[in-house]
Amino acid sequence: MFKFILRKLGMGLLVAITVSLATFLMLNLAADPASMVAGEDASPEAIEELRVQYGFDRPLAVRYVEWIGNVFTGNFGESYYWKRPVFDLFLERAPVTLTLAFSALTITTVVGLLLGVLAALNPNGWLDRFALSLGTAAQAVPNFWLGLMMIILLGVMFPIFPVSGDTSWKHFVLPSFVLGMSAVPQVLRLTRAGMIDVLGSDYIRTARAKGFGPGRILFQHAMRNALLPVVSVIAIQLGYKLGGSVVTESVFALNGLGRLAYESILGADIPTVQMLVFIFALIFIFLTVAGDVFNAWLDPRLRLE
Amino acid sequence: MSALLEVEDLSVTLKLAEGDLTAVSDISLSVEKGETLGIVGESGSGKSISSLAVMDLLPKGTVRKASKMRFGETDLLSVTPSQMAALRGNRIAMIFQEPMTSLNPVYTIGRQMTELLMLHKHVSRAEARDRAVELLEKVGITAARSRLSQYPHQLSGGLRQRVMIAMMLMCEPDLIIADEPTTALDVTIQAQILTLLRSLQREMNMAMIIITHDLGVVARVSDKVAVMYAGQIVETGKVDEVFGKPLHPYTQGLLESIPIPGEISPGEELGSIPGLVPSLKTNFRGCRFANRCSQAFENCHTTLVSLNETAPGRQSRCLLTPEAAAQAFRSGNGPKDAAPTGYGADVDISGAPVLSARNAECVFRIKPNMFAQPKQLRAVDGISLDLHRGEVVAVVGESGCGKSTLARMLLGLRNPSSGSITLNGENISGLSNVEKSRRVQSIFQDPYSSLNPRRTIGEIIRRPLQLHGSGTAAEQQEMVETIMERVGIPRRLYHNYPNQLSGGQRQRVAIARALILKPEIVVCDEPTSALDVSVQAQILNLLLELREQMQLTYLLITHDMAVVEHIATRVVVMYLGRVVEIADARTLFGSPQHPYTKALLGSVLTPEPDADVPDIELGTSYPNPIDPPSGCTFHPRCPVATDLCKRSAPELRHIGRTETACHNVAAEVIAAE
Repeated sequence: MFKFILRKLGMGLLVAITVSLATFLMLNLAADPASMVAGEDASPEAIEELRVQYGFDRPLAVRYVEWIGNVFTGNFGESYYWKRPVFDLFLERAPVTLTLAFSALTITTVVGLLLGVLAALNPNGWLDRFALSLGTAAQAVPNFWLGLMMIILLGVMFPIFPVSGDTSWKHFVLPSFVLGMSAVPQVLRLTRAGMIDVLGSDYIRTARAKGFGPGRILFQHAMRNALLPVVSVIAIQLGYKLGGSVVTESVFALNGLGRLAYESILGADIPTVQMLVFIFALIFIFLTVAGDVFNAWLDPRLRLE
Repeated sequence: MSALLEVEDLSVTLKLAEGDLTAVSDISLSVEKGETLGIVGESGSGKSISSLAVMDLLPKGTVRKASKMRFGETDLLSVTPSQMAALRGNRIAMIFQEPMTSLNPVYTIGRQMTELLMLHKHVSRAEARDRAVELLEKVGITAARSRLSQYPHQLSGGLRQRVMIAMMLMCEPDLIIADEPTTALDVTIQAQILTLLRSLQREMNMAMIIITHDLGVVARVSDKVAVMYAGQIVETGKVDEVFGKPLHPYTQGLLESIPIPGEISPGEELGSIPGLVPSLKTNFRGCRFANRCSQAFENCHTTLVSLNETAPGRQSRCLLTPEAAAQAFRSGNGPKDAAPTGYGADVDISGAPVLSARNAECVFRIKPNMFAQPKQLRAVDGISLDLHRGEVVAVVGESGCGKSTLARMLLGLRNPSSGSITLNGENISGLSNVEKSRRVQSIFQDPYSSLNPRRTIGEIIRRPLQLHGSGTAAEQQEMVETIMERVGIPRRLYHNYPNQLSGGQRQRVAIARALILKPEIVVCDEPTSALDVSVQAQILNLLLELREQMQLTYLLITHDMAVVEHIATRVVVMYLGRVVEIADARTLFGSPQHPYTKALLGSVLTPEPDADVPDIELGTSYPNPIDPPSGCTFHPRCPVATDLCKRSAPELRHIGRTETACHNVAAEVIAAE
């Protein structure tokens, strides 16, 4: 198992290096960084001056090595726009996104798993039909629309929750619900399909023949097998949510990473964009590895020798 | 003495969207302590459903009715679900068909075994583990304690079935129900598992119900037998009486469909039951077997026949008198002393072969992960083989021996890693696909998945003609209809889809598709193993008939030695990618040389109740082909292996009329000279 984790982490590291190289190249080749820093009506002389000042005149390879070397010390460079270390920006905005992502994921997991399992217990029963309809509806409704509706309903008509800002837990209820619901259909369907599949399998018949009651069969013998595909999806979903949801953050005026990414792309703030893409990639890599390791813990067949 | 389990008038109805389907109608069974009841029948006869009904494990939407269902002191019809659960696994245990999927993949063997005992007997984990070790040893598993921490996927099929048996014995049940316990296993393992079940049942004085389609299995392990057809019991009695003197025409037909050496000569037409099992949605007005029965008369179609007692403990559901019925058995061909017929004698094997393999090898490179050294798996390890016109060459061996890979190479579907395959002297890899497929065609094992479900029967059979551009549309249509008639598919099925056909009919479609291009060679990969016994006989008869009519050459890949003995003219025995013995069929079956061939032949279970389960002990299970044993690869399982066998691999040598690869056989011959 230790070797398994080590190998997965090694592969993850290779991916991380590739991603960092690709983002660095793409961002620096897509546009001339010096003219971006200088702004639209800067004179050619001013641009040239900036080029030397920021070191853009040096070869790409040298600049990449310098950047990646700094990254290891936690220095992602300075924002052109905010004129501050970009990592400080990240630290400033991250708590909002973290809170939002984890509470949304909790809603996704609880609602998705619960409805999925209940639906699978009696396929085509009324609960199953309800769960599937809810799944289809949640999939069809766009985030911004659901967000606006929640604001009208629970923020304006019945002012229970605040509709913008991030100063108390109450501020996070509506955005978490909106962001959480968007991933419910996927988790629900996977859980339902996996559960129906597992409940019809030979080893569940064996468990029944051994005299286990329905509860133990469900939780001990079926759940662990049915969860395997769901785990990977939840890991990816958490990745999306940690990456910041531009739409949800905008609707509820939350100052999270999604907003930061949006602003820095508009402002051509290369160091910020570069940092965010790299950190998001790291988060994804970590979550995928974590999902794989968790699945290997659940299912011994995945622990490749 | 009152029976341990008594079931009277059990019916099971499945509630389907298109109406009710009565899968089991009014069956009565009883088993006494220490007794084995065999329930035998073809697929859809209701045999498995009956046992699930006893266990109260029927799927949702199923209705069970019975006038009496008693187990020991318990009335199974009035128990609560939790009382029933307390019986299951505890006093009534069940072993299922699929050892590969019947154990939970995410828990260790130890956990799955101990949880059963801890649930029912409330013992400590340590005690349960000791009991598990004891039982694993009892079912013949070595290093039992270390197995407890293994997962199901780390064990072979045979070992898993042993674990399953050991697990179900944890609570010392009074009754054990085994549903096709050996069907998914190799023949050599089948015999071991049956012997094991039989001896454990005697030792622990359990009652046993064994459910199977295999008459040979029932004959060897049961005391009494119930034959089921279309949801009813048609005949019951002591196993030697039922098999020795079957009264019901269906039982007779089943027994006649099995090629038994000594009863029927190779190449001769097998008795088969024409037609199909009727749909259980039918509203029956007469005997359910009447439409397929050779002895049916008018009353059979209009009278509902009840199960009549013909002697104490003997029942038959037939209007014929027992005397008349008994007379009909084997009256068609009568007992034979297997006088050698001319079957296979017309084959000339001195001329040039039509298909020939020379030192053919197929090596797979296996890389467990990106950084590991690749390993080699020699699926086929240097095989030379000739097929002459008109021959029926059978390649036999256990699963994993490389027989299917060999077939794929001979079909030209896979190029050999080294060596060559030639078709009429031309290297097969140089031929175009069109050319290859005109001369060599194939029939596969599973007619349910080898036909495209979205094409009609007519389109499926016609497709090869279109690909080869033979004839006009009208001519093609005529050819399709001719071949359909020849293989026995009614012309009205031309526009039907495969899912509307039975397994036997689908296999006929597969045969028609293979034969429409008039190939020289047909490779049949387990052509009958997915089919019921009575249908298997129909297909074998058809293959024999077509061979004669169309001068075909067959390469038959199979594990069923009875089928081989019946239709093969020459037999190749494979073990771990190599040929261990090759001989003409009569020589091989008459005097097998290699110990592995002997073991294979010894493991055949013919439905003869007086014979016991063959006592073959092949020691360990089939080796891992990635890491084959040294020397003669068979030596770890061989009863006569010597030091020489561990060191050096024997070559194939001519011994009399046989070629065999065994040091011991060679030494004996030298000694005799």
